Amino acid sequence: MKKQFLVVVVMLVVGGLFSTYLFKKANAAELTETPNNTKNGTLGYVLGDVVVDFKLKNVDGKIVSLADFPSAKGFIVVFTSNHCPFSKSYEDRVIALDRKYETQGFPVITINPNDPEAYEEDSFANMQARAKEKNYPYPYLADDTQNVSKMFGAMRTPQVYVLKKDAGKIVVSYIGAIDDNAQDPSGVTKRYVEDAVNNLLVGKPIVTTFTKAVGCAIKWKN
Amino acid sequence: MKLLITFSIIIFLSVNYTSFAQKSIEVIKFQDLEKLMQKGDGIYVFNFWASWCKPCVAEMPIFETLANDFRLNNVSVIFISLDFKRDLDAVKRFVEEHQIASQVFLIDEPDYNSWIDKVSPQWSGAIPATLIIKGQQKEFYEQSFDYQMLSEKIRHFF
Repeated sequence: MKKQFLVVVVMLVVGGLFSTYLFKKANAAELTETPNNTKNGTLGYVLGDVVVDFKLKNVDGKIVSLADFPSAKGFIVVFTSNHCPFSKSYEDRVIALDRKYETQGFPVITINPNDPEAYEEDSFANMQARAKEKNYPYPYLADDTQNVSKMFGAMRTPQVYVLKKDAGKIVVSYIGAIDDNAQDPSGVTKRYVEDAVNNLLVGKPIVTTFTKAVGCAIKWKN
Repeated sequence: MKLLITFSIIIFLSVNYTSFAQKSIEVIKFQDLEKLMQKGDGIYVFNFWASWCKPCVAEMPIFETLANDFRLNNVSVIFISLDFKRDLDAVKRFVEEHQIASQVFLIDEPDYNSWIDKVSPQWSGAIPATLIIKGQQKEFYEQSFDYQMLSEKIRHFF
């Protein structure tokens, strides 16, 4: 009897330890994801920086640069993507921003910074499909080399840079979130981007120039 | 003999903890997270994730293994989901399917700008993100981890 107990006990212990070993091994095998080369917030543009113009391919195949908008007073640049739920949640609000401010001189320009190898949903073909489906009134640009996104210091999608033209220069005037409620447009109490652009339009200083928001980390190419 | 059996069963249960875990996910506010962050009795690893976030999901088993390996060093892993509250059921399903043994909370605090800096001024808001706390000692990482990298960071707190 005692012997039988001992056998069961030994089996339990060995079995337990072995299953832990297997669990660890399985994890080791899954470890194909290399670390993101995310950068800390101090890199890229900060408020007041002068933006260098860029050339990126739009979903219609044409190359777009800021110089193509000579009559614009500024820009609402939105780093966004197809795959990210936060971007999806904000999609209609970004369209509304363009409808409201494009005619007032602040067109929306959206840029997808993601490596499409990491997210199939963010491929150029899928960007084109989404733009068509939602009839985007603004450019949706692919940052293939990710150089523009790195230059801006974009970290996540969605992330907004409000730019204003000032004596021929294009200056970063607001960095951050669109508003204070990603989940529910009816729960928004602070419209950061609208407030910023409204103030720029009447020549007043922007009150909130920088905000943070949870978003999808940009997947950088290795 | 009885002692040996009891001891063995305890060992068996503890190493197989994942398969016995029964999960419920509490929806919390930032003040609840703050309280969790102020627990002073060990090393707490907060991982900010979401069920749809590929790099987050990829690194979760690493955190689970680490919690298991460093349990005797008083290391606890706490997963803070940033899924939308309306997706709570999907998060529950995810946690069940992936047999997540560590504690999981869903933070329902959509005004992110009001609390991101309180987690860490280094956090841009992108996920995955990880905060390690022991008393007043804090380290924050906005990146993905593999096991070796993460265990090295934990060892800073030993």
